[in-house]
Amino acid sequence: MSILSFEFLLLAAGTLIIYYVLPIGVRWLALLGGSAFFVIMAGWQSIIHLTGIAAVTWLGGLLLERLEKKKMWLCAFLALELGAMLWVKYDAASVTVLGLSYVTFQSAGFLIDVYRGKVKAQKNPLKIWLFTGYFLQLAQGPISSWKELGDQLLTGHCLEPVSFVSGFSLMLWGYFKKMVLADRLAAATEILVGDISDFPGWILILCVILYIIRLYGDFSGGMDVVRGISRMLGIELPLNFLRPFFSLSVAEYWRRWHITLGGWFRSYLMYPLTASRAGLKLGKFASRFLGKKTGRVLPTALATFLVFLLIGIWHSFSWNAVIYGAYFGLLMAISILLDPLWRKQNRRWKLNEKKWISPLRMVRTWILIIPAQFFAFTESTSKSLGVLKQCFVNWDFSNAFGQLTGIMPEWEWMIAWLAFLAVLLVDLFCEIGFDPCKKLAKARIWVRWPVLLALLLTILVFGIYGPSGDSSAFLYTQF
Amino acid sequence: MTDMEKLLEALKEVDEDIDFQEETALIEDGLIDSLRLTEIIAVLNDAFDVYIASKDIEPENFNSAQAMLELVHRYQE
Repeated sequence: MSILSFEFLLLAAGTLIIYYVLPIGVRWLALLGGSAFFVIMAGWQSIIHLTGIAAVTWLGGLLLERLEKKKMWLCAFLALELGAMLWVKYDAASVTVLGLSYVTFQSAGFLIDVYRGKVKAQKNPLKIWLFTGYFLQLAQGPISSWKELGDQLLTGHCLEPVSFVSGFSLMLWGYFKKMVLADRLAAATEILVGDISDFPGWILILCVILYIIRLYGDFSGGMDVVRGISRMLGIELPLNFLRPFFSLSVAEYWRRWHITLGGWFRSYLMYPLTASRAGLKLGKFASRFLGKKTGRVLPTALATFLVFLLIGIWHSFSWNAVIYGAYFGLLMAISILLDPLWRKQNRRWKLNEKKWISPLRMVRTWILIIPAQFFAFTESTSKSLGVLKQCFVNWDFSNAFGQLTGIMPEWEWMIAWLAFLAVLLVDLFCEIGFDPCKKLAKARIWVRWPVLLALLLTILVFGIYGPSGDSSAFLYTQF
Repeated sequence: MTDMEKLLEALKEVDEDIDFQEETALIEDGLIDSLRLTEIIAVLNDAFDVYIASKDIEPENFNSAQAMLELVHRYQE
């Protein structure tokens, strides 16, 4: 069930009503019921997978608190969960399960946290099942830790009008980003995977840039929808996107884009590697050759490279994914190793105090990010290289307008650009500390509802609907 | 030299622009990112010969010099 479907809206509304009707102590049962319905609708493969993972997580948690040789048992449970993910993802092409890697990462994180003594195992398997399969974050994240989500799901919340309206606004805004912006750009970005021989290079570069905008609208829009509905239930899901377009460096971009995935890899892979005895010894050893500062960060550079390689391969098991991951990994590793040098120069020229430097840094960040996207929109390396090559050979502007309107009618371009401008403006407002959703929830009634009604009408009139009346699928539900 | 002086001396190597003596929200205010955090773990290892476990790499243990010193002392016990 897509979160854009009418059935989903009914399910969300039903869950909300039952949630607030039930006595406060058992309100989590409404979430459990809603989630169970969501998973059942997804089919038996998802039911078996999710219940299996929840069972391992429940039992694993309890055993980890009781057994000796905890490390060995943790490895065994993780191998089971990650093994199931790898098998479904790369081997069993006919099996499709809901939120495969999000479920796996979240459950594995819980087991590691129990092992580290940070959270307590849960005796009630239904509570673990809800944490693993909470329907609003099941399909595409965010990946939450038990500390962030567990107690919030189980504690009943009272109806808070301000956060209810703020959540409703956020949900509408998410639908706007997905249906008005992202799905409209699908037509333009899909020319990249078709026959490109007729298109001049500048159109291809434009479409690659539009692909990033589409991905942002699609993924962050989906996040706003589920965060919005969760907020209406009194649950605050962790942020997955923090206005990545304003990043001053590639490192910052990855702190703002798909935040919970990066956070997961940082907590459960990068820190354990860099803070290990071997990691620290490597740092000391390297200090002898590279100098104290650079040597000390060498283990971090290597671990970061590995993390990005894995994030690449997580997207798909293809050379393109390896190139994508390795590109960012290499970029990050180099910037970490050169960090002492950068800092020296920044201090010397007092660059951080200069106002004009920030826009330049943003441009630099995007110049570095765009090339990677040539390897993101398709799994075929020959296709990517073909588009890349074509970008350099044909720069014909003679029929620019005709070329553009051949891809999408003029008025569709207009709506797309206006929608993008709106998204950029709202992000800019949030960046300077003015959150429109939260402000709207506190605004006077004759400001609040006309604005929300206008937003709703905009989505209904300008949203893109798929063949069955549903909007098209989310890009990040396939992982 | 007290342990605190030793710690501040070591932290100066990580970033001399940060006032580690005064700041109490180093992580939350974004003064320290993951790279600086791994550097701090390395200098703590150098200065006090402690190996910080991943489970202790949490904001509350690194938000201030005081918190870091308490963490080091927990390892030395």
